[in-house]
Amino acid sequence: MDKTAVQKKRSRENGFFYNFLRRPLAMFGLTILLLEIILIFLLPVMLELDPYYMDTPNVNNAPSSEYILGTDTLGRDCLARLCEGGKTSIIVGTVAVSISIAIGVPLGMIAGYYRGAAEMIIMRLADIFMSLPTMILVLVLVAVFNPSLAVIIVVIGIVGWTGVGKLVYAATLSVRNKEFIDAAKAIGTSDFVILCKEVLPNVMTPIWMTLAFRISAAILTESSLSFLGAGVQPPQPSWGNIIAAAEQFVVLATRPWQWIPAGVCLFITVVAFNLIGEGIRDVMDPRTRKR
Amino acid sequence: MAKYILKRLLISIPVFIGITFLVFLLANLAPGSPVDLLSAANGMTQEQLDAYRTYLGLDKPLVYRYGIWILDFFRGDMGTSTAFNQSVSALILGRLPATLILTLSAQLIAMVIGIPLGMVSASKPHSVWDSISSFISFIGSSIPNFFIALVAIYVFAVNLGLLPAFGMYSGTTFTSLGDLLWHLILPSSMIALSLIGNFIKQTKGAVLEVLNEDYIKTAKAKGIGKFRVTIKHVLRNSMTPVVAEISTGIPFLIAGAVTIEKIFSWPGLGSLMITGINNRDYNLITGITAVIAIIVLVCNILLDILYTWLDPRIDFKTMDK
Repeated sequence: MDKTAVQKKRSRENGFFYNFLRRPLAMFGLTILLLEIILIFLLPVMLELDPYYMDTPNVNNAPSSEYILGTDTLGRDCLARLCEGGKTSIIVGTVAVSISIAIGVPLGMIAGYYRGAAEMIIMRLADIFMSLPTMILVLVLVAVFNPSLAVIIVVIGIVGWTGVGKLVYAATLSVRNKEFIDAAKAIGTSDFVILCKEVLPNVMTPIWMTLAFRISAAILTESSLSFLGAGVQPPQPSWGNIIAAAEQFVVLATRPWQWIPAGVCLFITVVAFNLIGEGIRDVMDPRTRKR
Repeated sequence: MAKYILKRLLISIPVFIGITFLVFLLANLAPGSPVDLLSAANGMTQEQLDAYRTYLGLDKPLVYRYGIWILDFFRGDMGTSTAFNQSVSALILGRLPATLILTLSAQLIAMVIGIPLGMVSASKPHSVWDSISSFISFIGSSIPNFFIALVAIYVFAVNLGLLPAFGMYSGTTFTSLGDLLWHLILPSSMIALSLIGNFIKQTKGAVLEVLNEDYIKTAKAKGIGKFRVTIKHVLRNSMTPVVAEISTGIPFLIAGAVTIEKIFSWPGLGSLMITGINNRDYNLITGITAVIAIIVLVCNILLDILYTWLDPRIDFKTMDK
């Protein structure tokens, strides 16, 4: 009786959520992020905000009771655009990373499991992608396909496959010769089933460990692109293109309400994802858990 | 050793051809060709457009054009920029020094601040310095560098009037080193900010590992002073991962330079790239990306060589795998 109780307690203490919920910084990040998502999606509905309506007589208004965060150079409500831009960032981050995973995981597994020609082709392809900085590659791709939200998401997703692919490839190499794979082969299981049921669960740990960092990196890439004018195109708002208003010296020097809130939100979001990421990594990585 | 370097070079060649072909292909798939832009602007006749297309070589098959391009590239000829009506190689050579000055000084700032902080936080865990350095590295890796750069301009250039907000010189050309450095402070420290964190983390990890080694205990037991142990034994042996950090940092450095160059109107490759993209200038885009790819590949090989100098234990036969 005692023994099983101890075992139960021990297995619970090794559980992911048990440990994650006990990390104050990670929980702080998660709370901030959830709060922000709720605000971004609820505020526009509650206050009936329209990010595209131009209140022409009221351009460049400083924050007031009518416009909490003021208006921009075209008389649009800055708070409305801030929320709408936040939706863009969250969507780009999560969808782009899902695309990277959807491409990187199968390619990494195929390269690591079959080795030979598949390994050669896939890993050299990854080297080719990695020989250019992400930002440069994304800029070229976006310029070719004309920037739109969908194109940006897909491009950031595609460019991000190499990181995922290399991790999965390394993890697959370390499990491909284990006994349980040989056992599955011996009873005639097809390669496809082995990859899905035996290899996949064993190679996902490094992906979960880096997931939150990937999302924050994707959000940063999107906002940098939009800032450079090669990302989300106005009038559709994104935190990046809102901040780009500050490239005009007048806006930078005299109308801080038009660009600082978007930057602060972007920073908070990235911080939140990174705190969550560090929490996940510390919990999943046995080497750092005890620290 | 020589054999290993040769092998690395040989592996880099297909990667270089792959990336340039990819970019070349993409640039040529682009919907708005320079000929289209021209016809939209000037209303030229079909014959004139065809003549221009032949002049630019756009009537030949893609692979043929790529072959011509890569051969010309190694002769130093990257074609003519349609946006500037100037030779691409001349444009790139003209802009390269500005980018190198910016990125190298950023790298230097990050190392000078990051490595000592990493060492201190490793030798005194849980001290004030340890907390400060973890804070700096977390903020540095989380803050969008284009936003913090604008804030820095707002604070230091607009409100305090201490530093210049844009450009490389006060006038149009180089006058004095002091003037250049004065213009360099803001942009390079903004790039450095995002790099410092990685240097702190890598140095801290490496130093912690070395401090546990037996030869450090031996050195201490022999009565060698703490300072000499740190400089002669710890520092030298913990530099290998730091060098690795430099090489993984190079792509970030170049990417960071693009936004920072645009904000500070720094006349480097990054702002040239943006101009090329906005004007659909194929030759310029492919030229710049090819040069950046070469920089990244060459740096990686050079750092591998530096590895052996720092750590003669690295065996190249095992690294081949």
